[in-house]
Amino acid sequence: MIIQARRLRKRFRVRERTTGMAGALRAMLLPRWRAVTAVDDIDLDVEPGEAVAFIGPNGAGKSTTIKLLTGILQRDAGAVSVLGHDPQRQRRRLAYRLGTVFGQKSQLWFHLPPLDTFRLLADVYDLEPRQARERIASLTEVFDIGRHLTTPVRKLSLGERIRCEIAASLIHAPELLFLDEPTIGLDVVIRQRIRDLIARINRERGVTVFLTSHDTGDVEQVCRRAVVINHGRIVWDGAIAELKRSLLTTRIMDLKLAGPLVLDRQDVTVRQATRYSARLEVDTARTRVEAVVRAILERNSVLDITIADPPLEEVIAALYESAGDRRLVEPGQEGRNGTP
Amino acid sequence: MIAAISRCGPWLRRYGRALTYAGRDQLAYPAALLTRGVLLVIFVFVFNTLWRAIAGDDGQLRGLTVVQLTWYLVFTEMVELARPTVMSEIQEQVQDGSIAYGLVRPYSYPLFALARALGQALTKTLPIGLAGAVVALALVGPLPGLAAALPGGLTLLAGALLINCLWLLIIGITAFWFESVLPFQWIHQKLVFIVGGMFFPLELLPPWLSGVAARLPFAFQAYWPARMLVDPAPELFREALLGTALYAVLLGGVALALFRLGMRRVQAHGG
Repeated sequence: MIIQARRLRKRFRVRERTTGMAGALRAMLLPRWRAVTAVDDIDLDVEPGEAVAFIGPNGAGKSTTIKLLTGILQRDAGAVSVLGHDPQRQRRRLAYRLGTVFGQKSQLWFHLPPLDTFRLLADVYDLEPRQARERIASLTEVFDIGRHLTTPVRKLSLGERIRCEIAASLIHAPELLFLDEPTIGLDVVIRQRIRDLIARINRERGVTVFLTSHDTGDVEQVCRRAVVINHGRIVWDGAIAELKRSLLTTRIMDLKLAGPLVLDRQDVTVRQATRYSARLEVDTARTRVEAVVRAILERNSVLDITIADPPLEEVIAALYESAGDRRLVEPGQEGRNGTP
Repeated sequence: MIAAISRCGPWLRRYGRALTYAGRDQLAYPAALLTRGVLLVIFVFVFNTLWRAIAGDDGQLRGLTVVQLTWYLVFTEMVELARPTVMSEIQEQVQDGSIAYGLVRPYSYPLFALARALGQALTKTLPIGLAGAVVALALVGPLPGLAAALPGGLTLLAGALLINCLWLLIIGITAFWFESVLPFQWIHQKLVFIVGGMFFPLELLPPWLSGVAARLPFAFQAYWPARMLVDPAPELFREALLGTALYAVLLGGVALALFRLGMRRVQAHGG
């Protein structure tokens, strides 16, 4: 296992604030504290070479978990092993084998060209000068950043900068890469390019990817497994395909028709319809897709038909709503539920 | 010995590069450097006028000439106006939780921050010194004996920059416990102004106070280097160098210890 966490827990003390002058004075003299459990007894296993999406709503405990796994935060209970190290006790040794990309925080020096940051990071990770040159050359080619290496970072576009950010995080050839919202703020084309690059690093270099993102495109296109956290607890851990199939008992059916749709069934919802097309939502808990298709074909002239899973964002939204603070997986079952 | 030095190689390369990059990064703000230079010109002009007004018939104040007093201010301000941004950077990073990003690297965060701070300070101090030298030359002419005083004086000046950076580092680290550290910086700055000899040499204070003030850490980031540059005294240089080294070690130790304690208070931000 590259990551193994057992009953990992982290609590914070949060100072309660009150409004008004009297409240401010009272808070100063008699501060009140509230305990918040950010990570609540989670178990997590990640195999080498996996690409795992770690997702959840804001405040779910994603950042806290990543900070516990990288040794930045000290856990209150539980056991963690990352690449065979205890992150809390061996943070610096572990850091040599980890890479991190934080989409909202640049690691590149703003007024200097990316090449300078690459050189500095090579020194930070104790690379020999020849080794550093080779790594920089290789990453320059993979990320196609040769033209930007000597341009001050402030003059790069966001997409160019993010490519340089990811390249910078790979200078020391980490075995495990943590990515926190790597495509935030990027346009569609660049976002796709970044996703492809991350997937390529995972596939070709065997780097284990641990991705946090609110963008379901990132999740679907980069990762095969999703771990969903809510209220500090893991509420789902399994294959993304399985997440879509088992959590939403609906299928989306897109039809191209020769005329207006004729259909009268209680187990099918018409989401959208025009004179020659329709989008239907089939409730598979009440009927089989096959029965619906047969009913449509009996009364309509169908030119084309597509059946798909619902969009991932709908699945995740439904998951957050249905799970609340209830677990959909039992403690001890995380890391195994539907994992490919 | 050679093995020990070679072990230090990567360590020096890492923090040395951070220092030089911070210096280069600072050059992107020429307007800020210019503003500080202009500020120094105003300070030197005002204090020169004051010294001329209150100097005795022999043109001296407690044994120091107006020329020496004017140049003294140039040297002390070379440290004060070269103040790096390390304190506010650490405060911001602690407050918004982004300090976590610096902790996933295999280096010492406080040492890295210190290297950056020194890089900034060294880059700022040169143009400020140049501006000060130009105005001092215009007002009072060259400082007698400066060439001979430079080796020792510049050594102490570098030590003063280090002590100033260490103070700012320590104050920044206190952000782990206090929401705003600006009041501490304000107090530190005023202590340097008054008992550190920022605007005038400690000889102008009452003898009982100047004796105490000369041994406080604040004097080693203002009074001692400037005093050695305007009126070098070999026997006092050794004392000043020892004090600078002792306070640098002491403040460095405090910074490291405080940071280790502060690390326990790192909070998660961003859910």
